[in-house]
Amino acid sequence: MSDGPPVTPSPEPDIKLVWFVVALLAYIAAGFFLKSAVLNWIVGPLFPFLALFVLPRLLRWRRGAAEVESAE
Amino acid sequence: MSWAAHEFENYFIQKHIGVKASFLGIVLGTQSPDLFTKLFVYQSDDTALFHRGWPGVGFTHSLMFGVVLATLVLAVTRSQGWALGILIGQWAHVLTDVADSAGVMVFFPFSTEPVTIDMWEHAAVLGPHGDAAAYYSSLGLAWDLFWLAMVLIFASQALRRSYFREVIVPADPKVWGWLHRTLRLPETALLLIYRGLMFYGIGRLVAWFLYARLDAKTPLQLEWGGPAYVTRNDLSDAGVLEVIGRTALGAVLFAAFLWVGWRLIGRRLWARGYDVPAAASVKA
Repeated sequence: MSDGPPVTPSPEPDIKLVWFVVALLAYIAAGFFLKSAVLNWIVGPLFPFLALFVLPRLLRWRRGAAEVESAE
Repeated sequence: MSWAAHEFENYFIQKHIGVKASFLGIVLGTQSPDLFTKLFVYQSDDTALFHRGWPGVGFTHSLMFGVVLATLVLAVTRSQGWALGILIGQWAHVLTDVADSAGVMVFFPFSTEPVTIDMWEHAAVLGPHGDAAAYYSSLGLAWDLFWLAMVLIFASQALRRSYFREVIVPADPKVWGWLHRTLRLPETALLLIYRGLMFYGIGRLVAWFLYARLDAKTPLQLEWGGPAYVTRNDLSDAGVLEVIGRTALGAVLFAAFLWVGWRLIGRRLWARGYDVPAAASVKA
């Protein structure tokens, strides 16, 4: 780890509350049926990061790749 | 044991300590008593004794454990923010767990007497799912809702992006900076990680509550010492005066230990430790 200016402020706007609510409902539904597999200290805190940051980027990347393929 | 309360209290503590303590240190502190022991608790023959008593891993729920952990972290990393965060977080966990029937040995090793206010039954004997159902059928539910309300009323600012930028990151620039640069995570992603425990706390509270009501169908008994269907598991058969006497003696000895320990070791370690610039400017 190194020092220095830590985090560059992101120009992106904050994620809207409604998306947190959607992610929360999805998490609660998954937790109700899968219980400890989802309601644990690793999946739980990382769920918003995975659902609201990683997943949208993956979907965007896939969509971009599909558009390139269809253009070719 | 408390469930989502241990997630919510991180933000409450952080809001009141500000830049002096690392948020991740506080999180490590609040989770440390159960971090390496919870899995084994459910597998033990006497869950309450193993979890909170002696012999067992009950020492992890003592104030002394926080002192030892914080001292080790200060000695190794020299980070005052992490040491302070771990100490306060661990102490918060200990004091929060006083509420269930098993209690905690607050002043171990000077007193092995569990301190409890008996608000709800420690129900680990029922296994993880049964434990959750019992907790969310008792005043444990009210305890989690109390801590959620404390965060929303008194510490909601701590969840804002501006707070993350102005307090959380400056309080721990090394770790957040490392995540930012090495994993190439933008501020938005770091903010999601920071807010993750709040999300998890609300999610587990609602999901386990629904499980208790709709699946396990345990009776909702919001009365002191409930739920009644869980077998009583008080770790001590001592009377109230005996508990007060032993605990008071333990408290005095612990305070004396802290004073001597600070004079001999603590203040030297603290003096050779470093503070983040943001915290130093607050002091000045």
